[in-house]
Amino acid sequence: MSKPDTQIDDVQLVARLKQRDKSALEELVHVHGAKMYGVALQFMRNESDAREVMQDALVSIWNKIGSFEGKSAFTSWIYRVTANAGLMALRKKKRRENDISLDAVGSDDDDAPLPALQLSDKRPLPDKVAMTGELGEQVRAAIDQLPEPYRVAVLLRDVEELPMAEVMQETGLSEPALKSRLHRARLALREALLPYLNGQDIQKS
Amino acid sequence: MSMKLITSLWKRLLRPDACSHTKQLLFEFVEGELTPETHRKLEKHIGNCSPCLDYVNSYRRTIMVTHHHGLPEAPMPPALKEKLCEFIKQNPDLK
Ligand SMILES: [Zn+2]
Repeated sequence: MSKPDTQIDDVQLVARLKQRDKSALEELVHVHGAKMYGVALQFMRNESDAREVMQDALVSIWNKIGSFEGKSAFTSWIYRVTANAGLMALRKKKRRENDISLDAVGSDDDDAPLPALQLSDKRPLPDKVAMTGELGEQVRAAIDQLPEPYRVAVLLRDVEELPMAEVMQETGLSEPALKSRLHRARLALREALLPYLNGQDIQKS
Repeated sequence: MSMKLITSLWKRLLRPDACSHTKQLLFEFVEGELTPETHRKLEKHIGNCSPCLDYVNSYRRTIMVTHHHGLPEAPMPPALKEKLCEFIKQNPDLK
């Protein structure tokens, strides 16, 4: 599928959603569901929670489509809504489980690096194989093993590339707290991924 | 002692400090948040110090691969797709 076609399809999708056409929502699942699922899964780590997040996201898309002005790509808007639903779901889950260990992990005063991430034991040598398909697996495994507050920061900022201000708003973190969390998460990821990083070209932005 | 020698000794003395600046300012450097002057100074040091260059590059690469590979590429399970379509049809919030 070429890019312009997708964009035209998205314009039509948005128009139909704004006209309250429910079948457009189903079509959205077919066209963009895989990426939405990826976002939801990365937040929730299991299929059944990811499904709930997708459902919440679909309701949000349906309710908020009127506020989508087309300034950003529709796809990034959808993923943002999904990431937001993921964040909300994590919060709800945290309250439910009353999990104090997550709070303990979230102290930002501590400048010590995060404990080394334990990646899967089948660590391949940093050869061509590791540079292609397996790099993705290693990256996702490393993100997955970050303590939740760090994982959320990385997912919103570095994976989804939301602006800092938006991540602050969504996480309720102050700017220094968010920066510290993000930086420590990146250092932990760097440590875990070091053997795989050499072949990667740097794209300056 | 020649001036040149003094300068080079001085630089060597300063070097560990400059390297620690790289670590301290890494986040702001990569995010482009330093003042132009500090940025320039640090950039100059990094350009002349291969451990610092490796360090900064690996940090940048980490951000890059995180962005490119952070999300699973696995297709959505077909059963999930069906459940979601069912959800859309049944849910009273969607009207
Ligand atoms: Zn240095």
